[in-house]
Amino acid sequence: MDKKFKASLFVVSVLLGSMLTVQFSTVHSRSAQNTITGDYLQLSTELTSERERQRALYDEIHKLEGQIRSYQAKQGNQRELAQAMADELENIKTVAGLSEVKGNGIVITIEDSFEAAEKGVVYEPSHLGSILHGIVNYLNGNEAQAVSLEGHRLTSLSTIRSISDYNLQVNTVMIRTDKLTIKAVGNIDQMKVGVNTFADYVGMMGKSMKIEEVKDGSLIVPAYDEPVEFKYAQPEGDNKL
Amino acid sequence: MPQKLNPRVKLTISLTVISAILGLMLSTQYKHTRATAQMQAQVLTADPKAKYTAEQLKKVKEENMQLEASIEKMRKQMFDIEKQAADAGKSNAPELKDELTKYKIMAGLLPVKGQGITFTVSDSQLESGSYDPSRIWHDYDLRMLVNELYLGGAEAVTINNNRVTTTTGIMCIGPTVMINGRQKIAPPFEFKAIGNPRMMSDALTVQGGVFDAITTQRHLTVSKIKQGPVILPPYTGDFNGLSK
Repeated sequence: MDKKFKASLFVVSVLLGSMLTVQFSTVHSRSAQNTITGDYLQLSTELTSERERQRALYDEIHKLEGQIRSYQAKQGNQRELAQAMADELENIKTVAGLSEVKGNGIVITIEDSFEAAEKGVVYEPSHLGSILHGIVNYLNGNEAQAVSLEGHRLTSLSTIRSISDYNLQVNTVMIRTDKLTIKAVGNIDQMKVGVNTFADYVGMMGKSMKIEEVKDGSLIVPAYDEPVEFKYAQPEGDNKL
Repeated sequence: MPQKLNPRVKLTISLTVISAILGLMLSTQYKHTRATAQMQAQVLTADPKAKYTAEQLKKVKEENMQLEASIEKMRKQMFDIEKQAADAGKSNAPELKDELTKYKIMAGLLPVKGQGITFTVSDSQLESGSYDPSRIWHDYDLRMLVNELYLGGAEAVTINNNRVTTTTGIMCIGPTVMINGRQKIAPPFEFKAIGNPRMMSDALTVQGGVFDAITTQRHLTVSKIKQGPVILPPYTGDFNGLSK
């Protein structure tokens, strides 16, 4: 009787243990399944953006074809070709940041705020340069077409430099730091997502951040106004180019 | 009576515990063996939906690379015509060509060569399984290096062959970094910059400067700076729609 009891107890316990494990594995495998779905989601997001990029590339090719045709048609007439080149120069200046850009966008105002400072200042004033740098970077990464800081256009050659705790230089000009305005033309919703990631940092510097939307196409970002000169960079060899 | 039963209860409890552990071990072992086999099978078949998407993605990426190559070729064709017009010396073509070339370099539309520097940065070696965010490269670190290079007089910069342009954003997407909209890159990050090699090197390596902060405080890895001629590829994107 005692032996029989022990044996049945053994069997029951083994079953119990197995059931517990199965239960644990089921919970566990659900999360594993999520990972697979996650991979799929990640892949399909990437696919969507690559397809979008493909459309942009085809647009660019289409545009270049037109320009080359126009150049070739005018090759016999130097004066007309020069005119076509002058037109092309305007296009190039736009993408280089040397033309004013007008459109929809956002105006970000960052200024000293007693309310924010009262909550506690974590970041020293010397961090402002890197925070502004981060905001501009995230604007560009979120479909901004043109960005200016205190009226100075930010291009590939632009720099933001902390001179001292309360002095900043953008491009080569000193700017005020108690109240700063950033203007950005581009995709409003997307740009706001990028900028909002910095709201907490700005607050922890004892400053407030306000974002205004301009939807009537009237926002103007000025042209880059520093002299442009290349001493070292030259187009790669004529044949290889 | 309860005192008499005590050894039996004790035995029952210990037997239950031991058996439960045994059962747990047995099923874990079984589960583990099965999971290993399953994982090996999964590598081959994956999720059919994910596999299909991955194949499509690969195809579109390849097509996009070819399209980028076409754009580069067409831009070269235009540059050649501009050069010919300038060489003919008629009208104001020479001045126009110089202006065009200058702003095309600034916009990143032409491949450029010149004296410059090359260096590579990578995450610090971590013990496997540990994670320390201060010991990996973030988007803002890369952006800061670009800023320092321009402060040192850089004229053109690339990160893993992606040209920095007026609309370049560098953003962390999971463990990779996205630059110029869609190019996903991962460490190590190779920087190339055209400009005065000594000035750019000094800007990075000055005492208390970026390299100092990165290597001593963050333990991130930075290679030796190589000075000499470099060639940078062009940008082929649409400037976030600005070029339309």
